[in-house]
Amino acid sequence: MLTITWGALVVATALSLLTGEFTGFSRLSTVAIILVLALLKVQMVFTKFVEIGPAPLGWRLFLEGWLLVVVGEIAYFYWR
Amino acid sequence: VNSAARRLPGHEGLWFFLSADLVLFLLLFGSYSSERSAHALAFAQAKHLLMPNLAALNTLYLLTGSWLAAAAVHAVKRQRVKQAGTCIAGAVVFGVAFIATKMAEYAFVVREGVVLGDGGFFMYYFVITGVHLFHVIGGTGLLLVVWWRLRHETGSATDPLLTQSGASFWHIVDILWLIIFPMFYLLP
Repeated sequence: MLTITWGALVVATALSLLTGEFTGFSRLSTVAIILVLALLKVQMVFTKFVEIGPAPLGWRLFLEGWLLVVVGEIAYFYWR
Repeated sequence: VNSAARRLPGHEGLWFFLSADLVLFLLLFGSYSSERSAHALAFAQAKHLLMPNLAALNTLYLLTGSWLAAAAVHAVKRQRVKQAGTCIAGAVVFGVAFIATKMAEYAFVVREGVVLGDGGFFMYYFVITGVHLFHVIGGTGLLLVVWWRLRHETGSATDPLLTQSGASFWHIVDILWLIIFPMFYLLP
């Protein structure tokens, strides 16, 4: 399972690199794809590597909330 | 589930330190994003000096280190101490590779005439990646301690707590980079 997660993270990194260099998408589509990939990658590290699943609810909410606020604030300054 | 199982992996004190760190970076990311938005053209032009391929390579180093650190935690829980030590040693190698690549990038950027105190894109770049680099150096040091302790483990049952702490620190360092990498190198 760890190896599959690592493989998925590597593929997601390659996809985000290609999206950054590809000129066919609109600016906001590029931002959206890259940020969604970053969100999925961090989520994967939280659940599969750190294994936050069995942690107390407060800690899980803090970590998941942190991720949403970070991605949200970066996105906000592109969309506003 | 008993209370001992319902905790994050590693020392609880470490997690309070890491959570303060996460909040610090959240503020730094917000501050950078706000400034980038206010000076979009200048920031976009400055970014052209950076090399996304090199940063992607560094991403692979950290992800592979995280994978090995997670594998070490699984191994030590099964009392496969030697296997855990080998995984941690591998993670240390990838940590050193990240540090070397980052230093090479700094050297390149400085050679191009960029200075820290320009107040624009590169001030944020140096501060955020610099604070992160200190975490990578600290994390690599912590993993070295874990490796040393595993290597000299003589007890009948190895407590996974130290390995979990080292691994958790490394995962957070990895997670911060998974935001820094797209923010500086990929987003337009």
